[in-house]
Amino acid sequence: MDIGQSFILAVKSLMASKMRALLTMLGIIIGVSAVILISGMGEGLTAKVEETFTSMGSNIVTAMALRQTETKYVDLDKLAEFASETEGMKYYAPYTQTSATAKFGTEDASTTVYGTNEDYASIRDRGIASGRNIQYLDVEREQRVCVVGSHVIEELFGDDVTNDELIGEQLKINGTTFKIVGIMEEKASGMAGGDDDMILIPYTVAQKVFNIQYVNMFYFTYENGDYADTIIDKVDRFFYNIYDNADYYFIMDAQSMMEEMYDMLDTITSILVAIAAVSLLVGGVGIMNIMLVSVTERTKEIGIRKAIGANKFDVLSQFVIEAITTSVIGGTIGIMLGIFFTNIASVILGIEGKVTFGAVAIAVGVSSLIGILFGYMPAKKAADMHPIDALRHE
Amino acid sequence: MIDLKNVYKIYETGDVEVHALDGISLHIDKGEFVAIVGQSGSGKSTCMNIIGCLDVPTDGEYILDGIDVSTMDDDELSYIRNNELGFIFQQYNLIQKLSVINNVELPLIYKRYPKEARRKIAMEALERVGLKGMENRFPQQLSGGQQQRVSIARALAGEPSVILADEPTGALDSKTGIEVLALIKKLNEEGNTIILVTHDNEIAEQAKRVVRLQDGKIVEDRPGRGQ
Ligand SMILES: Nc1ncnc2c1ncn2[C@@H]1O[C@H](COP(=O)(O)OP(=O)(O)OP(=O)(O)O)[C@@H](O)[C@H]1O
Ligand SMILES: [Mg+2]
Repeated sequence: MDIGQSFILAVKSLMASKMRALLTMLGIIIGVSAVILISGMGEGLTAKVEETFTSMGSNIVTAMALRQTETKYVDLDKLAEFASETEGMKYYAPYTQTSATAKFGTEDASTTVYGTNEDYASIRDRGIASGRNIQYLDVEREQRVCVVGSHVIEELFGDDVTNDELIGEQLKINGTTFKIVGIMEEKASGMAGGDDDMILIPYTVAQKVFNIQYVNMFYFTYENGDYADTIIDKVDRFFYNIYDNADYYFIMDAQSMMEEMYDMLDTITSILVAIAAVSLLVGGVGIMNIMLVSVTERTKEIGIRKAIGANKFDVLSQFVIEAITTSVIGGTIGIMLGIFFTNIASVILGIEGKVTFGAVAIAVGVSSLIGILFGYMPAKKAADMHPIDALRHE
Repeated sequence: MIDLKNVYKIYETGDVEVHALDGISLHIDKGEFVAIVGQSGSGKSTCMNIIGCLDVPTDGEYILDGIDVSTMDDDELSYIRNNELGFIFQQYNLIQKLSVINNVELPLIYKRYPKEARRKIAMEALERVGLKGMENRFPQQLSGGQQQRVSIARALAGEPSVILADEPTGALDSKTGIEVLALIKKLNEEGNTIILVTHDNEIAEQAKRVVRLQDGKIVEDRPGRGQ
């Protein structure tokens, strides 16, 4: 059979009745565009989650002591010793977190104050734009110094001053005077409530100023992923030894949370894609239906072709090619619509949807497969027609 | 070249058995021009369909060019039709959505000829039937006589051993009918074997041999005036 001619004929007969062609292809169009849209948005969501976790910092283990008493509390000296002695442990930072008001002259800004040590900036991947970081001695000697985020700087001092001019200035946090020793590099586009809306002070000072008896949150980071399990294990054991009960503390690490999240997203995406795929199946049945009608309508043509010498395979391939052409054209329209809808959804949902080559390839593959699968039955019916009966058909 | 030996075709419709062909034996040689005549229902078309390998006999033997075709399967019959036989139908039986040239090329497509060869042979066939220059028209854009010429060109393009024509002038007015018949006669003079079914005695007499059927039996087999 002449494949080129079959293809041209298929396109022609689709063009001849556009409405019918559209209705035939509708199922495929909807199915393919749904698959493209859903998988695209799934990819986008995964990328967004990954970004969020990466910004949280990688290789981080967070521990939280939920309740501390005179007898059962986290001894910070012991913990520091534990951290420095543990192989593979890179940074360790205890921290407190308090909402407070910072004041300079008549300006004030409500922000979050973190009481912590010199490692905090490294753990949270914060660079120092001007001045210096908090130092070990600041903590030891309870120096009232602070490192300030760019949003707080803007709130208190406006845009007119350079960072360097502000080093050495004094501001008040809940009434206590602090010296600005450093300013952090901008991280979250200077937004309120984000990573730039914060002040770091030594935790020893925070305990005094905010009257915090026990520091209850701790960051640990490990050298590389190989240490993840052992570090998590050792941190867990350290806390368990204090409490003899796993209910009084809480340990989480970004890596395993991220993996769990990925698994969940994958599952959700797969389920949605599977549902969309069902509509592809329905689309295939639609094509089969129209092909059966078409075979009946063209019985005479089939009779002529067979009388002239077409064998079963010739007729079969003609109709299968027609079905494939229909479903592939439908699939192509579906892909274009899917990309279009993904772009629209990206704007509406604020998630950057990604249409992958893989998704498109699968859509094309599946729609041609549907053409073969659902075109075969009607085509077989045509191929098996008896030439005389077919010729007599009007 | 065509050898029917005691051929039966029996249709069973309900309780009634119809002997459309009731023991026919017929021998036709290369280059003959045979007219099959008879009343309506006498079995002419049935006989033609069997000779044309569109149908197989219920009983009996059919040898075409030394090959026994009475036991062939569907695809083998397709092959024989494609390579040995050319059909001219009463209703032309052109494919409406194909252009004239594409219709004529059809048997060559199934012979798996390459495109250039197909085009060349089909153009020659159209020229032989006097339709040069109409290759890109569609069947609806032609008169009945022209359409029948296209179907003759299609039959010729396959370079068959036998051309079978079942009432080729049945749908044409008498003048056009005569022209088409003249064309068929010319093809016979050029060496083609022709079997023609008609119930018109005038037309039958143009053949070299006339075979008359009645109730599925051959009741007369004589030379025609075309001899
Ligand atoms: N498919 C069939 N099923 C049952 N009976 C059939 C079938 N085809 C033909 N017949 C019967 O066989 C007989 C011969 O039919 P055929 O078509 O060969 O006649 P014909 O000579 O060509 O007639 P006409 O001149 O009207 O075309 C008729 O009695 C017809 O009813
Ligand atoms: Mg008849």
